Amino acid sequence: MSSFPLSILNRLKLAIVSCGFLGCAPVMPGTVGTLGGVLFAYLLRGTDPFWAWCLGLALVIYLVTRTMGEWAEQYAGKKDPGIFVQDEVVGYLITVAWIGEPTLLSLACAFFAFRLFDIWKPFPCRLLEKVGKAEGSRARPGDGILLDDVMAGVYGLIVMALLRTYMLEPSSWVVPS
Amino acid sequence: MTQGVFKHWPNRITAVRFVGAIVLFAIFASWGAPEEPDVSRTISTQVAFWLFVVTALTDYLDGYLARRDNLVSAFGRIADPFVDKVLVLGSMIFLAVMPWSQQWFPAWIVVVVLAREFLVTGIRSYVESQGGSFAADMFGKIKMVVQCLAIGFALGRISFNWEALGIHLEWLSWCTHVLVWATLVTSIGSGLSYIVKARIHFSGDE
Repeated sequence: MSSFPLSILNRLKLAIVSCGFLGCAPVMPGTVGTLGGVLFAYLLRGTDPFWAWCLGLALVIYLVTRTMGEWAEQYAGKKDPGIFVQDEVVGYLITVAWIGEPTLLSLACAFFAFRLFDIWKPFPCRLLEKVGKAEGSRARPGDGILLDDVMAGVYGLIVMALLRTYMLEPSSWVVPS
Repeated sequence: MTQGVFKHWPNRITAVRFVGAIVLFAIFASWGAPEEPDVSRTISTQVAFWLFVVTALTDYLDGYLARRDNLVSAFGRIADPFVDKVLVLGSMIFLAVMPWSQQWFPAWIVVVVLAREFLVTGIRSYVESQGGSFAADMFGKIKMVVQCLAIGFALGRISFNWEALGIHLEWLSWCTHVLVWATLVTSIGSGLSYIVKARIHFSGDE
């Protein structure tokens, strides 16, 4: 990693793929990187409609960072490098993209829901990881890094949609007497 | 944290589940022994319910990930069933002690379930020390699911405004009763099936 020249451009690229260096955390970079997504969702919570802003931001991050997959793999010297955490940010933003403004409880639950599916990687996440790896593929390696987290985000969104509709709103709770 | 037994997610999940179980017990302890048969319904009952649901549901996940990604370890083989038992038996003991939940969890049923676990653990460690294989069977897995449902129903009943959703608390109470008795039946049943298996194993040695 250190053999890479730390030019200003490389530092900028590192800052982007690691979501402000969150992905450079020495322990559990994926989990720490997801916190970047929580921060984005928190900053977006006053927007209307919230879900469209989240999906829009997720799309922009996807389109910008998909081109930087090869660079991140070369920089870290391995496939699906830990420093690249914008996939977690995109997945988290999809998980929280539901109707209505999220409560802090919803944002916290979405964090766990997304990390669960991201670690579990249920079908077809593991197939999507391989996108862009084949010779002559039009997709880029960055797509493979990002798409499995997009799918995990969709699973997370399904869970969060159910939770936020039926459970997480204070109106469905028993009021303490 | 990045080295040793916690380098990969399966053992991390097991460790997080253990911490979750301890926090759950701390919440139970914080409720004390309210005078009323019903515990006061506050945010802590919600937290307890969800904590139990998540720690119970992730029971399957750590073992599954370890097998899928070839990360099966001695630590995981010992810690995973240990955490399961701490979570389920610990919850049942608390529910048998707390006044509001005693009606569903009589102490003697919890004693039978505990006795079954000790017996099966004893048989398993002996058979495996002899080089035999003694994995959990389908009956044992059904028992685990029924146990978790019984605890989940008892905690869920006090956590939400069910009447507002058109669900009578009495129905949930009956469901909990049925599930606790089903726990007793599946515990004894799966315990007997392990005894039969052990007999077959030992008779093969002779």
